[in-house]
Amino acid sequence: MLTINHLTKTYGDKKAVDDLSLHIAPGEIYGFIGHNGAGKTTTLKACAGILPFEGGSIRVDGLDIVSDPLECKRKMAYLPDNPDIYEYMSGIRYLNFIGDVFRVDPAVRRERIHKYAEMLGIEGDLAQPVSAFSHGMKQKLVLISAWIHEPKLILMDEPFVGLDPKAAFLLKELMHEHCDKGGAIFFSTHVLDVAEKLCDKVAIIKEGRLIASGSMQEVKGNESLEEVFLELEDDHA
Amino acid sequence: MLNILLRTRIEALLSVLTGAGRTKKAQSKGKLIGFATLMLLSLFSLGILFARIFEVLATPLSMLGMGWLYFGMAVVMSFGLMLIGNVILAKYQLFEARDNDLLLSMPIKPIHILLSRLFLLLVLAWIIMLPVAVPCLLFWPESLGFPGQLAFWTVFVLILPLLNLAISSLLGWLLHLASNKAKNKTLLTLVVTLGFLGVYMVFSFKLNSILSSLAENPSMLEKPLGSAAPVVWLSKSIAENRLDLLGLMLVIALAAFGLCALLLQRTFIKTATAKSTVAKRVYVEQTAEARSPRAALLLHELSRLWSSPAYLLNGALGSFFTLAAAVYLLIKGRSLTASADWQMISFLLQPLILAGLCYMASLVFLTAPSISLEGKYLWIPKSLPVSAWTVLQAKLRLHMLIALPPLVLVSVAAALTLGYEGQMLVLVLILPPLFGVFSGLLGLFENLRHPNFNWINETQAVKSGASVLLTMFIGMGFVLLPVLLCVLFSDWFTPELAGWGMVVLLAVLSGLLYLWLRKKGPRVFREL
Repeated sequence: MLTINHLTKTYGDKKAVDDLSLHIAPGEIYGFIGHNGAGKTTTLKACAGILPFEGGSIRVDGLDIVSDPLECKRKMAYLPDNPDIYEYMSGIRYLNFIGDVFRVDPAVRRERIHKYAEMLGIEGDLAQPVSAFSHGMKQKLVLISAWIHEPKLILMDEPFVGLDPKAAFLLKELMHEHCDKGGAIFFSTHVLDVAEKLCDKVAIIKEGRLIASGSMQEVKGNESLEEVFLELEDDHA
Repeated sequence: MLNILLRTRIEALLSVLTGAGRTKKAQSKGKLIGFATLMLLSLFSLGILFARIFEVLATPLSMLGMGWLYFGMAVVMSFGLMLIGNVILAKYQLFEARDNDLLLSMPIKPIHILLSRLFLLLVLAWIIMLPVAVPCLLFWPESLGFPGQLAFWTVFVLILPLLNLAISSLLGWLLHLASNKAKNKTLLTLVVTLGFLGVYMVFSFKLNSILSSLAENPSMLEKPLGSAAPVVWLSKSIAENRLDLLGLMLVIALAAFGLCALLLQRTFIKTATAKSTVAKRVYVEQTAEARSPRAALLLHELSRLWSSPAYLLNGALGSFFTLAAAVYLLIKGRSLTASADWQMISFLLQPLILAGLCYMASLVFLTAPSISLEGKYLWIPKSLPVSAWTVLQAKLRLHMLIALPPLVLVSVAAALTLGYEGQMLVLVLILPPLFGVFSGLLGLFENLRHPNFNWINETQAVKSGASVLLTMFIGMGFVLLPVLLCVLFSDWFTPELAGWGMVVLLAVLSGLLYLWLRKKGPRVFREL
């Protein structure tokens, strides 16, 4: 579903991502972990077609993000680390805006908005302007906007930050449900316990370079993901 | 702590005044100087307007020994100008600044936060006052021969913004409280600002008649101004070098500022952290109308415009003026042309009115801050399955939608009522709308080259971005240049020739700008 080949992205002289390669297959929940500034957000933004990059290639469901960006974007959804959404729109207007751009049929859109907004407990607030939403509510709105067009691939940057425990639980359910239907999820997180329980595969990045990747069992063996992460961080210091 | 906050405010002010820190790249020295020159130029052009007033009034009032009236007018004009500039700004800067929560969470006294923000507003008020205060001093005959006048004038320049700040802050506070209760905040701000602007416009329109009446009868303002004691005290203190009155005004200004600061301090936390008390809107599930991505993007641009009074009032001000001018022409246009004066100088007035309509077109620059306004939302258009060109097109279409209908209307109104014939008739019908198209393309071009994503309040992006100033000044230049050429080389440079020259130039430049936006614009947008 997502193939990253030798991705390299630089900011001035600094290599934010250095020769990174990963493959995320349909049905997989792929965790992406690393310290602050390791290159997680840059990688996710490059995959989402937001950030141009200098080297390598990214393919989404067989399509190249550089030569066919619009088709790639139609197949995926991206959730940023900060849910910065148009504050001058109401929640429902933002969702309809996303629905229009992704050409989701109005009746289907209505059904999905109802399903996810009710599940996440913000249906009653959808007429409010986004500026009146709390951080968590904005996060939930971004989640609904991602699921509204049923993308094949979902890219998420720290999706659990700001969510209440119930919403975090529901998000995990949604992620499983999405992958059970053949979709794929690639997400970054600092919550290693969540990553360990949720992910089929995991990649660890440090200073832009991939230092470990594979199935959860391959990467952590008999240790906890936290122990492995800290050891790898020290080994590559 | 106050020192640190003041330093931060000064850095922010310098950043606005010099255009530094707008992008991640360092600002070059040339650009810094260029941007600062633009800011000075805008103050200078405002100063010219007031210089005209003082030039007319200085000698007769000086000869009549009515210096207090001369300086009294300076007090009223500068006070009004500062009030227009600072009330809305005080509302945003004091009570709606994005970093209020952050600063209040730190071990900083609220009064220090407040004072640092008031300091910024004070400096801005002082800058706004200069276009009135400097020509006022320069044209007063006695000021050059007597250094004491300069000293009194300096104290006056320091006192008046302080007094003004107290009043603008209180009005800003009241406006903030009202907007928290208002269902439609944009409408409220729009009405208040247009009210201020209306007073200013009426004053500007009536300036000539006021000036000629004053030149004939300088004492006509003696009574109304004389009844406003502080105005008289302050103006007499400068005109007659009265230290007692200056001292009194200094005490009044300090007391007013102190009381205002005290009142604001007592209510600051509550006001700055208050939530809107408007009743919650209940969501009723319904099936939305399907729109194409293009229509959705245009609707989004319209939502942004309507939600932001700062954007609406600055970017679309020309459209309000143009509509007002169209209505005025339709109602009064024919009676204007019926007068004997018109018949005599219509050859002069018709081209000037055409230049005026083009100037109004140059005052609509919705595209100039449109990229900067994406700010923290930039990830949204970039992650959507729409091309960068489609995003840019939506911004252009918004500009055309708001700018062109009033311009077409005013052109038709002018053509119908002002007796244009022959080539001038064709020019009045095509030049203002063409100017509107050019202004939109230029604004987008400039904003792609000079985006500013580091704004704290969107007013910064809308009012003082380099792209906004460049678009405005280039537009003004294109209006002034043919007028100047017609005046300087009137023998062979006719208004018709100037008009057709502008049509060709604007059409070619618009074509080139469109080509650049089409070919290079999307790449520049993707790389932002």
